[in-house]
Amino acid sequence: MKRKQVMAHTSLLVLALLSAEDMYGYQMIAALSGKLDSTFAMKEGTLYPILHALENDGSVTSYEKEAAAGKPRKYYHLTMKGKLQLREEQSQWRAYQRAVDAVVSSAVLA
Amino acid sequence: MEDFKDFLDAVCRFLPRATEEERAALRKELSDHLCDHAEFLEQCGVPPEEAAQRAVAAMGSAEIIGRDYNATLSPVWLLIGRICKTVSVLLILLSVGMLLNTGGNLAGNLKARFSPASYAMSHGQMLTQIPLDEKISVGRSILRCYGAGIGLDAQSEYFFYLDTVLYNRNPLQAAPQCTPLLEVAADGTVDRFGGGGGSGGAYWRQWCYALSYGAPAITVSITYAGQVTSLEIPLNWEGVP
Repeated sequence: MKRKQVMAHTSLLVLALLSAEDMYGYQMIAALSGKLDSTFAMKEGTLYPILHALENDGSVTSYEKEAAAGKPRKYYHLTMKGKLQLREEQSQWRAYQRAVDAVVSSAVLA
Repeated sequence: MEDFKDFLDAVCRFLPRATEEERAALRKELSDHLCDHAEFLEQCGVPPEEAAQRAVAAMGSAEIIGRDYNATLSPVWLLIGRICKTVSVLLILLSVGMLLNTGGNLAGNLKARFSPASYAMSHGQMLTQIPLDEKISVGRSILRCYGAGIGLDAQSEYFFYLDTVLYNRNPLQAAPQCTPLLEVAADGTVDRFGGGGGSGGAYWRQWCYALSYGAPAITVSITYAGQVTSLEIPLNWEGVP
């Protein structure tokens, strides 16, 4: 996937991950790489500007807590606004997916 | 961990809008991320040095991260921070100025109290000195008449002089601005020289009046802040040529 496409969808992926549980940055990357294999070649550092933008927007909040290894980490939590945003982006993504599928599946390869 | 430091420094170079706190917070978060990733790689058997390099490489371009993060920062806080710093510096300067001013007032006031004659105001050749130390207190002001005598001016005419200093009862405060009015009832002459000076702490003035040789006394009527004080000053011509 191209970088622009990755960037456009990372916030949706982050919101989706946080809907399940509060997570810190590296934890999100680990979870994404486990689910997406190498399809999603995302540079890890790009996550942080996205998280900060979501925090500014009020979609997520952050707090510090000890991670499983006993080290303090900055955890992110999905707010009610974030949940609404996730629902909206989810439906947009599905509509987009259906439309692309409809065209791609009807393609005729010579 | 030199790799981490270089990478974090590089990211921070692209955060001109970030406050110190924001910069430190991002630095810590990225540092934690790098440590977690390197630790994971080491657990997978990667040597520590290579693990650190791979963790940094996985982060991507420091410039892109820095620029993208910077774009999410509002310049408002930075601006407010800079305004606050500027205001703080101005307040400090103002305080120092006030302190110095107070110090200046104190120095002038103490000089007026303990050594008023050290302020040089001579307008001619002083022939005799008459012992005098009269204080006129009105409100917070003190007008001190600390010196008098007979002098000879450049035109070889005799004059009577009276040295005064005006200061505040509170040593830390500036001298009052109200100027005393002196009238001399001797020969009906007028103030010829005036003159004087001082800082904010005290104002000196030498009052000079023409005088006929041999006049036995001089009456000075001082009007200050509505209060009139008369001084009858005998003149001693002994030894005056």
